[in-house]
Amino acid sequence: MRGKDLFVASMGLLVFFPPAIGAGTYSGTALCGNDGDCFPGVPASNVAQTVPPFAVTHPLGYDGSPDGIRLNICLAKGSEAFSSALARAIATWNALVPTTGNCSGTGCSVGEETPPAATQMDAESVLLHELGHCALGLEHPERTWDAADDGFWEETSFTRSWDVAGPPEGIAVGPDFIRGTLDDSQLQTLGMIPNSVSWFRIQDNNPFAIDDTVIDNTTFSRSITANLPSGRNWAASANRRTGEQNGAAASQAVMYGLISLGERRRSLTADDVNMAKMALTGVDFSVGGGDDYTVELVLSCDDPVSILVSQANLANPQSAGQCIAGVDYSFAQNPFLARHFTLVAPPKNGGILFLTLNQNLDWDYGADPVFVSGFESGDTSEWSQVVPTITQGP
Amino acid sequence: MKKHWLVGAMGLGALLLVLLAEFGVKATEDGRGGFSFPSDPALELVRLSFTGGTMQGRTEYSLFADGRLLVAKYETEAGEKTTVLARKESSVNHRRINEVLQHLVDCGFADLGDARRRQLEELRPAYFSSDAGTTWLDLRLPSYRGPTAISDRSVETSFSLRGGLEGWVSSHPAVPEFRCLQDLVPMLRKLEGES
Repeated sequence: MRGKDLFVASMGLLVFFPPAIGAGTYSGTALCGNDGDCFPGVPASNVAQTVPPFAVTHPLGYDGSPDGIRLNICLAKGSEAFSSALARAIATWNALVPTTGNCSGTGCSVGEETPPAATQMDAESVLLHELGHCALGLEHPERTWDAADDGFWEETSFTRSWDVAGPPEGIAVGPDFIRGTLDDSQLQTLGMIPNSVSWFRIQDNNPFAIDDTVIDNTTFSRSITANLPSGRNWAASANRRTGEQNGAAASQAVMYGLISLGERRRSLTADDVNMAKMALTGVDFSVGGGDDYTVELVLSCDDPVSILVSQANLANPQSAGQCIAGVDYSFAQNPFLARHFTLVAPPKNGGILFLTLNQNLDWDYGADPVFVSGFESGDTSEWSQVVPTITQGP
Repeated sequence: MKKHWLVGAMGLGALLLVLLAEFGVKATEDGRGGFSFPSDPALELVRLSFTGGTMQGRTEYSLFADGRLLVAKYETEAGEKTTVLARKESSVNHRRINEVLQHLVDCGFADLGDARRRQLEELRPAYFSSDAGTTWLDLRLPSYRGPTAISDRSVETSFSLRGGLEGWVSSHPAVPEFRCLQDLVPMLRKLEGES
């Protein structure tokens, strides 16, 4: 427990709110800059404009049409050791299966905790996270915060937002003392309500809930003032501690921004899946409106390559991987009302998004499957012959 | 006799070059800022810090006037360093320290005035990485003379960037400060590896 959290919480009314959480957000909608709070990202074609808070970022190549999008993901020469981990991460995003208990290994930590000592970084977990940025356009559900107001911004477990006042009044943990839950408070200067850039589930605000709820704008919202259940202050986010509060032990969104050495997050939470599906509803944010689309990630170096995965000496030694990307209008829209943005690559990268892994880390590549091409998953469509199992009689 | 003069002049010139390389330059004639090598050996001249990224804590590269290069990983709480998680100290010579300082001087960090700082802060990166964290540079020069200055002054400046050096350089390739900061990283890593 941080002293400041304890102090702020003790100043508030000590009312226990039932635990509730929820969130998901998109790349480019809020970037934390030098000037205090996080500020809006800018479209690559017009940096004088800003990306509105309620925007959605779509995959590379999305232009508003309902056509399926195929993204070829190429593994650069010299990085072949990541091949199996990358294949598994691709398969996981293609399947979009929500899980709980996805956080394991030597440590499943939130940013405010000290992770257990470990030496290896899990390749599949990092690739899954980076593909969430690079292929799906997802952003971290939590936000950075300069708690000491000294210019050093750190990842926290508070839910992502912008236009928040500086410390100490901007963000405070609620009576449950858990960052990222619905009793947190976030304020602008003069006590106004800042913008949440996180979607929450209107029904129960639980990002770990797995059921048959249709994911679109009738079931999810970003409006703190209109759609939060009464008595709640803020949309919460899918970190491990909020999972524990909601009966989803050892669960943490793949898109949660911090990954400890030794930590494994090799399957998606509901929050990860929900946010990917929200983008797939297309222009109208509604399922079945005729503009829904699909995305298929393919491990292939065939033209056109969309994402190139390689290793390099990243500037920040604390970064396990990075995807350098921008956003631009998916199609012509009024800049002030624009909601749909598409991932774009820097011009010097020839339209290819670079997913770069830190070559200085000791990587855990994970175990290779004994068989490939779908044999272990039961998909034998690529096999020329399938012989029925022979069993011995009694 | 002429030959002796020539040899003497060449020797003196060579000696001067060595001294400049070893103990700093204060040459403003070529349009570059200059500095004197600090007399306080404990002075921390350059600190390059990284926070955020996908891993917790803060990593710092600190270069001291006595040639110590300290690379340390810290645990942090509310922005404050609390525990040293890893620490490596090595030693580099004056020539290398001068190269680092001159690199930063040439990029304009010693002359980073309010107007230029405002210009840089108004820029927005069109491309960035969510997992790149913050890069923070601190530069201290007790005796610095700018390209057009007539007297020395001390320099103590800080500069930070969020969203990843790679993204800022991609977004604004013509801004020397961003490129310079990116180039500083391998420079310090090379020094760490050399010693």
